[in-house]
Amino acid sequence: MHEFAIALNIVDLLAERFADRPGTRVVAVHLRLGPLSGVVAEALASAFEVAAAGTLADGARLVVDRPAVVARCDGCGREVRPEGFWLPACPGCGGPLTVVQGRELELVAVEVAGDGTVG
Amino acid sequence: MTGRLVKVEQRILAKNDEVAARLRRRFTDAGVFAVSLASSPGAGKTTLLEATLRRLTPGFRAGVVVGDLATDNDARRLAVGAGPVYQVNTGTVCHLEAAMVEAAVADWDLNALDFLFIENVGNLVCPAAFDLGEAARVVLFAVTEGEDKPAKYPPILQTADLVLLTKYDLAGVTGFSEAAFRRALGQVRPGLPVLAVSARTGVGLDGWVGWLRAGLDRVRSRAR
Repeated sequence: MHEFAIALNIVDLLAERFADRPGTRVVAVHLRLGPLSGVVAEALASAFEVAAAGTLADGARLVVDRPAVVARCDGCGREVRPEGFWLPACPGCGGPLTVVQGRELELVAVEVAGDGTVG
Repeated sequence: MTGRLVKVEQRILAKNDEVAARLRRRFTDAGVFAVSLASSPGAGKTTLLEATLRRLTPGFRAGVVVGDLATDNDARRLAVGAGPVYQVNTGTVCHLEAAMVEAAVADWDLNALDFLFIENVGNLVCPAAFDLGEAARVVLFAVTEGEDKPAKYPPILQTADLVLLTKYDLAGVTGFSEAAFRRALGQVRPGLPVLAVSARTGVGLDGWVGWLRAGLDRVRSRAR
């Protein structure tokens, strides 16, 4: 869903972040993509190649961390790690589950070169 | 090639969330109960809103923001109450985003409104990822769509506060099984409230308006 729009968003965030340091090149982009984010990593990688062309992130590689889905039961507090994408009720007490991990769509870090700093 | 690591730790959709949070505060401060409606195309959002606005007038003032790729057909249909109506034409974008809602209500006196209805572009997939600053999100399924639809669209249901089962007057004709529908919903969001409504015959509309008024009371008590 919207991988190209997300890729453009990432490039915009990078351009904003390094606007005061022209000449910076982004050589790698570290992302956190949860399974429930609605974004498919492979599709995002292809979209990113296109979106980043001609920008400070041209040719940058994507490094994707994929955290597992973790949910907590509102009833008994038990932590549940579902196999599939969706688990409607707590396997222990049948109570409702709240997702605490797995929805992430985050720019974690970037690797840069050419921005004039040392180290 | 590796480079120097710079930590960022930023949500990619952070901008939308910032705008949505700002809108949410504005709506609460102004004592407006903001409700968004999402469904697949043709499930009856606009028809239900027409009937709702007629019921809420003249006692309450409601503003409406409606999103479509093209045409202002919906805005014209929804100009039935005393409140403002704004048509967002998204062009090719398949969902409303917070910035579009913010632009739509920019000139409105929110303090003069009781309700704000935000009718999303007909789409059960993409709206799930975009917070609009609403106090409550309503997802509509029509009896003509089949009983298993809720199980097929978990993301939007994860963000929902209420399900409206629309076109209920056609349930008999389509052989619709409400029990099967509730089972499908239970696979994804057990306990999520469901109201069966027909905008045409009026069935269930009392309950729907009651739900809206309760929401308004909650917002008002927070604003005080």
